[in-house]
This record gives sequence, C-alpha cells and structure tokens, in this order.
Amino acid sequence: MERSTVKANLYSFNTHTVKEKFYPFRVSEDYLSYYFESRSEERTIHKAIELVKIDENTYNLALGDLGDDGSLNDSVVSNNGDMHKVLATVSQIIVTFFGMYRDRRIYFTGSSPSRTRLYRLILSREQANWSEIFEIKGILKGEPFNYQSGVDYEAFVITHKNRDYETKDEKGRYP
Amino acid sequence: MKPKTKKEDTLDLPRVTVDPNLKSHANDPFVVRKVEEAKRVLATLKKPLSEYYK
Repeated sequence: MERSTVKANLYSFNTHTVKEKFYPFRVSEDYLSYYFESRSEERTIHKAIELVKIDENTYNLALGDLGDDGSLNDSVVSNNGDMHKVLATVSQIIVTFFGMYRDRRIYFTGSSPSRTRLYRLILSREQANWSEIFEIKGILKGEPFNYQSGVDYEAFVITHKNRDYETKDEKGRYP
Repeated sequence: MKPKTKKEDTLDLPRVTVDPNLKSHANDPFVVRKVEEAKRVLATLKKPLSEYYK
C-alpha cells in the first residue's frame, strides 16, 4: 500500500489547548475521509469521519462507527470508555481538514435530538479547550448565533480562528 | 507578518498518514441522510450562511 505523509505545522496552536492524547488516524488523498480506531481492553471500534460539501464553503461532518458491512453509521453509542480521546482525535481531524481547506466551514449535528444534546453538553464542557482554536456557531430557529452554553441548538457550524498556518506534504508542496 | 511562535507553544502534530486506498463513505446511506438534513437546515436560514460570516 502506497502511503505518503504530511506534517501540519500550526502556528499559535498552544499545546495547553490539547490536553488529551489522540488516536493516530488515516486520511484520504482529498482530506475528506478519515479513519481511526478507538481502543480499549475489551474491544476495538473502527471509526470514520466523512466530510461532504453542502454549499460553496461548508462541509457536513459525519462521524460514526464502521459496521460489519463496512458502512458508516452512528446509531450505536459506543461506550468504549475513551470519549475524551475520541473527541481529541476528532478535534485533530478538524484541524487537519482546515489545514487543507482554508476558510471553509464545518457543519455538524447529531443524528437524533438526544445525540445533538450530547454534542452540546460536550461542547459546553470543553469550551475552554476549543474556544482558542475554533469559532462555533449554533443554529437556532433559522439563524446561527455565537455558541453559548445551555442553548438547545439544532446544529453547529465550526470555523478555524487561526488561519495563519501551513500544511505541506513531505516534498514541501501545498496540496 | 507571521507572528513568531515559541517552540514550546507550537503543537507538533504527528505525521498524518495519507492513505490513497482509504474508502470514502460519502455515499453510505447514513452520510447521504446527514447531508440531505444539513442542506435542509441551511435552506431554512433567514439568509445564506456565508452572509453571517462577513
């Protein structure tokens, strides 16, 4: 299998904002498909993220587990005891995406109201960590607002605050 | 001008592995459904999403 590597150098990306270790992940050549493994002593869960363009500058983020048939779904609550590490991995993947797709936006929501509520609780709890890196708006009643804890948003839109970074491949090219 | 960044403040990301054979799930039913829902929500916004970022 032919593989190449890239190294993303992020200026002003303070290490204090990334307290959790994250899983190594693989990415497709177009930087829209990602794969990593959530590991515990009991099991390994195959996880994937797919980003699909939904308007000129916005991509929908779908996160889920890979089923036995190889398809992506998020109908199962994994409960693998590593939620923080999974979230840290998702955060790294989002940063990697923004490294390749500058000035774009990521839209995401849960597949059910309860899942969206869970994402909102996680965002509120982790706000001190992500607020230095990302700007997140919550969509409510047909309008996006700057994210605030305790508001029952229908969906979320992420942009990267720090666009002053570069992503190069091993030959120093900007893809 | 790019701000100088102290070495200890710069996150040194691990090397991200690019896998040309990584399967896209863009056409999986779950992803297609999510994309359709997202487009529906964006269509209900009072003005295009990009207008909120100007």
